[in-house]
Amino acid sequence: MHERHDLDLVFALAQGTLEDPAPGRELVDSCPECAEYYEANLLVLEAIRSEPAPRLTDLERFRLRQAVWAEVDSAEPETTPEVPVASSTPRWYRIMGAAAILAAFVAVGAVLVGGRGGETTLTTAAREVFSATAELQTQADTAEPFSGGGEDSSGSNTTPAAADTAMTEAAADDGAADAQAQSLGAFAAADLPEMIAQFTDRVVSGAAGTDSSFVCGDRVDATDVVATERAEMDGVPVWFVATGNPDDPAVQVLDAEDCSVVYPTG
Amino acid sequence: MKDLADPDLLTRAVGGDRAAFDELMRRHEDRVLAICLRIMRDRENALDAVQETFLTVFRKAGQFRGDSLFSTWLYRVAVNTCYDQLRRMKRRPSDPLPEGYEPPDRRVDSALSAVELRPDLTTALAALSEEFRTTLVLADVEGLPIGEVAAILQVAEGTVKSRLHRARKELARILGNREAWG
Repeated sequence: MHERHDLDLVFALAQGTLEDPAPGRELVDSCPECAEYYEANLLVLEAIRSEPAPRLTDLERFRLRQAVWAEVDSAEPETTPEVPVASSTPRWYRIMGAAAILAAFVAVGAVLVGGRGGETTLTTAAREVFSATAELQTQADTAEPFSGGGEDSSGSNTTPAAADTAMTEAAADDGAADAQAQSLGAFAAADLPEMIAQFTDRVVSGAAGTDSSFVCGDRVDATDVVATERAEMDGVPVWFVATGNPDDPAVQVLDAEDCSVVYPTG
Repeated sequence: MKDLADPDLLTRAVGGDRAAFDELMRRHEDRVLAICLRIMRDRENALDAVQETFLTVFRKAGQFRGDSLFSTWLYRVAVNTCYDQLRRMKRRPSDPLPEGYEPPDRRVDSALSAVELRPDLTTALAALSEEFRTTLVLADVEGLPIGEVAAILQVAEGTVKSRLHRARKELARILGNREAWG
């Protein structure tokens, strides 16, 4: 395209923002390369307009604030202002990845030992490791509330999926006992975002299941429920309910007494 | 709080008013995510970048002189944060198109009529170089004026225009699988 051609004019014509499009049309009609550029702009603009702008989910907003203020509170004002802090705390999925590798090693070792006649060795060893895995997750969730999942940005070969698999196997092995050990329990209302984050992580990892005593199905799409858990917020019994895609569930918190929605509000 | 301008909120935040900073985050977090997501291409990494961006802004709030819009400064921090993270990850900025991607039917005369066969915008953007992608995201996707994009990227407006023209042609070529753009 010749340098003297007004590319901004061509783009504005494609955008449809020209008050008087005649000069733009004249340019496009008289210059084949301008016409090609005009078509290119139409293509780009159409692609942009057809894709909705990304937005944070409510949970991501919660976690963002929680993570920002947690980092601010944990930093020493005199020493940390210039330090990039996002990488200063371990991501939960890195810890989970390490735990998954450990679990794999022990499980393989146990199988080898078991093959020589020690079936119970596998169960015992695996349970110990998976129990440690669950504990690590709890610690990591506390340390890094915003990083709710995703790929390992360090490029490690250990993926969150591997960690999730380890957690799922642990849950499958130990069933209700594990679910009980990881239940949300009693907490203060101020900790609700963190509890939602923990619950979400547990749903995604497969560690959370459905509770048969859940009776508030009419407040949510009962056919869509993937996990329910009891808890107590400021002494009031509540239900944590996950619906939709188990890998990216929507979470509601209901008052267990009248099934009213506690979260999300508004 | 909602009636206050961004610089006033920032001043309050510097004075320790967390609600003021929360309001700033509320106003800008979606757009910061959009920018970071287009640059990083991975939601978790983008969320990390959003978190780090607001932490940086909070910590350096006292350094903001008001010579530019708050949003210009914020987006500059966001872009730099994304670049830093990309460098840290040592990941190649532009991945190739997905293996299963089939180019549009060349018999289709109009590129516009082949829209259903095109890669989506995110995939196509990923094939651009880092500087083309960032420039196009800020100017065309986010709709920021050329002058503000230049201020964010700290380059001349002419540079922004040049990158934009080339980025649009390249993106169109990818979207329409056209080979005519030089």
